[in-house]
Amino acid sequence: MVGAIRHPNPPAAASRQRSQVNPSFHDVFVELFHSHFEKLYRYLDRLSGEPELAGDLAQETFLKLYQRGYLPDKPEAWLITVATNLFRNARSMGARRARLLTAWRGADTLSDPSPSPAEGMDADESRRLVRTTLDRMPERERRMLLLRAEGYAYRDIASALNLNEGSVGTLLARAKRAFRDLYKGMTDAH
Amino acid sequence: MHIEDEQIQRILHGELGAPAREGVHRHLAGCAQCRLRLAEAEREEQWIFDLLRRTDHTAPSVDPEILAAIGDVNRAEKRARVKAVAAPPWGVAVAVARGGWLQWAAGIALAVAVAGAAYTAPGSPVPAWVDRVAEWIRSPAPQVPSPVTPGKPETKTPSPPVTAGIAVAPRDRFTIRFAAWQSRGLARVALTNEPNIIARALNAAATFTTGVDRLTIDNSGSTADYEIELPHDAPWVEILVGERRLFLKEGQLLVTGAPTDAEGRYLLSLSPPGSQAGRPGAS
Repeated sequence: MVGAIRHPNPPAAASRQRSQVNPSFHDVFVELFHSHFEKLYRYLDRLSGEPELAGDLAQETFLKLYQRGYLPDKPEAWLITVATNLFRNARSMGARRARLLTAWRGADTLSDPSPSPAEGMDADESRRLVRTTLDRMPERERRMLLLRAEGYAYRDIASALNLNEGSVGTLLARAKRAFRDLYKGMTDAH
Repeated sequence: MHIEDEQIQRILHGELGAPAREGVHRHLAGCAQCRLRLAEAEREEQWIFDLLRRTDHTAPSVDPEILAAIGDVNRAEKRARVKAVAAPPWGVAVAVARGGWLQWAAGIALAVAVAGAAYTAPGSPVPAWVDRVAEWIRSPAPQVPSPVTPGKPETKTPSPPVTAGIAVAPRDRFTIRFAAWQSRGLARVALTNEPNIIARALNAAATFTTGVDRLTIDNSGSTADYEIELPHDAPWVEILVGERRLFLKEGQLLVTGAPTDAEGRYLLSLSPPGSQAGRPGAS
């Protein structure tokens, strides 16, 4: 630039060094989003059975993280805890509606004519049964099963569910048994 | 003595520490029943997880930059109650015409919809976010005092009516680029204590497009004047027309060939160098 005016004051070096030592929270946030959004969404989708609500809650969870401005000590556990709390709040507002829907799902499933043994269960039927099974599980076991299905570590599951980490395995085994027994109980009824 | 459920699950999920793992493996080597239990636990888990996958829906396609921008809007509102100029969603190209705030809101709503947000889901927070951004767009541009050069008497030049504006949060490096030279027009650049980079087109329409670290002003065919405010704290900002740099702020260092006006603003000519109109003050 011709005739450049330079202000002879300290500069650039300081700001460059600052940016290297403290990577932007924004960049960390974006990276965490890309690695965790889908699995958080999937957890909420399976937990709620409502994909639109799951999408909103997952986004709201990450928005809260961004507004926090800095990473929590255990980001994964934080995300699960906040997401689950948001889900609880949303659910308590629609609790009655959810109960009616679950009863409807159950009644519909049991009253449908059974598919022929040769055909097996069709995809819709299977989905409905899984959904009903999840809805009928005790909440803590349902959440534990769904968190493990997304590959969350025991320490994060324990932190999110307020459990002793040493007992996560035992409780997981129970959750799986509960799912299996409920699901088979419904399929045997066909 | 057999291994317990806790250990079966932990060995399945790789959650056993080295010493415990060795002990369990030693036991499994000599216990067919426990080996069977472990195999059964693995089969059962796969069966359950396969069933769970049948209920899955496709995750919405969400741009984290949009969430970040919404977060910036919320934060700016908290700081200064709607009068603050907040960062709009990244990557949303908006065309602003006279009275065209609806186009902004439509563009943002489209970005939100494309991102998969369920705007209409009961209890959804998304409408409130869109409303806040739309409210920012409707609100008049804030009156920012002109910088005063120490030692010189304050002189205030009445600002021409503002047509359009945009505010973005500065990053480590930020580029403001005018797409084209103009037959006439100036960009007045001031340093401020505001937290955001602010750009305004003063007397004509303009299209602002933001990216992660840039703001592009599509001024093709325009003769508008612009006001650009740069935070004192912005680490690195350059202003270009096409590929030609007119202004660089690097920390406290400013590099430009532009003169200043009575209020200390740098007057960057948007006309090609060498043209009659390429000198600030030329009509």
